[in-house]
Amino acid sequence: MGVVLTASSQYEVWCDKPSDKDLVRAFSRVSAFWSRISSVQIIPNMSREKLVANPRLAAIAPLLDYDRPDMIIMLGGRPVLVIEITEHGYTGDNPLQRFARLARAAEMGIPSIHFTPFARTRYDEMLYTDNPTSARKVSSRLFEGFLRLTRVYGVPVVAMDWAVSRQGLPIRPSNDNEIRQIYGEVIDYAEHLCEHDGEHVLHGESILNCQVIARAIEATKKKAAQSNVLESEIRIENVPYPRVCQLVSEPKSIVDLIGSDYFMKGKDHKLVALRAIEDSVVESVETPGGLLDVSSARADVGRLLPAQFGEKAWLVFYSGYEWRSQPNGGIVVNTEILYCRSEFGKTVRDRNQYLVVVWPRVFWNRSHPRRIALLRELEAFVDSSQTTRLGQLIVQKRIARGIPLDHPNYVAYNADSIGTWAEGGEAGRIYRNYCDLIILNDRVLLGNHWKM
Amino acid sequence: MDLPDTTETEIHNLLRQRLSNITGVKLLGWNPPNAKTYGLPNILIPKFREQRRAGSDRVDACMTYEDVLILTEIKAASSEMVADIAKLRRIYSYWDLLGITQILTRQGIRFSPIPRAVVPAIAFGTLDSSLPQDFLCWHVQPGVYRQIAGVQIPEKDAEVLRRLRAAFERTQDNPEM
Repeated sequence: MGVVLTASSQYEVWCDKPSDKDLVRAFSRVSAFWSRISSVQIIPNMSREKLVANPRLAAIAPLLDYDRPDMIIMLGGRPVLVIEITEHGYTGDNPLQRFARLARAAEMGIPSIHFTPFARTRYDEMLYTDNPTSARKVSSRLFEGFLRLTRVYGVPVVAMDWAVSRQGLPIRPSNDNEIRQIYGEVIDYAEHLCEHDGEHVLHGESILNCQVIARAIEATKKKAAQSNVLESEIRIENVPYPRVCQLVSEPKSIVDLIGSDYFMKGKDHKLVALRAIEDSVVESVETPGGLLDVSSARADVGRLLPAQFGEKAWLVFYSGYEWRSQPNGGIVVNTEILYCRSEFGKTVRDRNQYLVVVWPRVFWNRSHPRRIALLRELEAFVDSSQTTRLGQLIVQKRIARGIPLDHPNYVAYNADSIGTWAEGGEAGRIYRNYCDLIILNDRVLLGNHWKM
Repeated sequence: MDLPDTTETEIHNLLRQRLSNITGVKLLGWNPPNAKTYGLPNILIPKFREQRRAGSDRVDACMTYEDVLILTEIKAASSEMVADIAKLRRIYSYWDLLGITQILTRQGIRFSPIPRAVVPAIAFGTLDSSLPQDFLCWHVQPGVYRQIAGVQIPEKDAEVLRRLRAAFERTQDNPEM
């Protein structure tokens, strides 16, 4: 006999932060469904092992494998809906920050909602002027990614718009009426999904044909169709495997692959990454059989790696970011699901293209002399604009682009500017799970699914 | 009087709850320790006048009382507030009242009445250092609410703040005062 679930008193919600809990309480003041939720708690900060060992938390532990969603609605002790709420829209990479956690929910067969302003103004623009500043649209890659997750895993991953004020800022409620006005779509959709489809979710049955859900997917589809992003210069598809091997033996060759012009336009921090590339030497490579020193055998690198690597083309993704979890993690998951995954491939082994990420600002070895030297150079440049190789590159860029030499630069310094890999960190877990290869400044890492 | 340690989050909650119940106080922005809020907005103040992308300072709590605008930083202990005091002083060195109200207006804040003065403030649970004389200070613990106004606050503003103090230190919640 199946589980009989009748009353919404069997619902509970786990939240990321106290403010999320407050929002659930606010929802409960304007919705009969939300008011019947029996328990609203904050997910404790504990290791995955401890979460799994805790009978109340074991069911949500896999949802937290990459990072923590804002709200997880449980029915009869099992998750039925994940809700992510972020006012941080903007275009470019920023909107993809939360993508990994929704991908994780989809992998587990759990539907999700991403509530965010689809277009909003940037603080750093609107704070300086009384004139209207243009709203920035969320990257359509976000919506495309949601649709792809929906198609691959057969669970709805939908986006909902957070309305913005005249200034282009997300509207915040000042009373209960406004809670419904602002969050009404989330409140009602969650109620419908939980009350009408919750048991189907628990039983792994498709709910995509439900009218309410189909409408939300259709709305997400419309947003995805409004493409608003240029072709990426740092995502190179259909790269032959020998060229990937060349990246391992000669990391500087990433500049040829991307084109040197990329580094000479836009933000100055691209040149920090270029400095790291200039000095990059891969000294060791993880292989299915273990770690190999390649400092004297770089030409043979292709033979050290899994033989299957030569059977498909590769997508090379370059990250010029410093070491930090986001947006790096979300971008990689979005790239993998949109460009590498086969049509209905449910696992990272189901690829059309393999995925390699080149991340030159990250070292395996925290104490590596090259890392220390790069950090010192960066610190010297930021503190006193001393003559450094980085300073030369910035001058070269200014001259090439006709920018005054005294134009302020926005290069900052901290220990993560040239960072170190953290296996247990959010980025570490995500990259290991989704990439086939990760080329750090000093070491090549293998995706988890290729380890013996 | 020995008071128990109170966390920064608790100070935020106590102060916010207290101020919410005072007639004449209008909370405009609040930035809790986890930097995530769905109700009052996070208030940002640009670091420099001209240099875009130089970043912004977040102010923990922003409110008006009558016609005084109060920008507040919050920590568990007063001795932890050196950087916060410096931050508020930096804001005042770059922006005058008009500049600050303009910046807040751009973030959707509506004033009624328009502030006549702006006063920096700090709030803490443990008083374990000397206090800045140009700041309004709130010492907050469960059941204990004290307001100390620095002697360098202009008299006209201090007069308004004395009325705020009367409400803030209501004796029914403050039996030891």
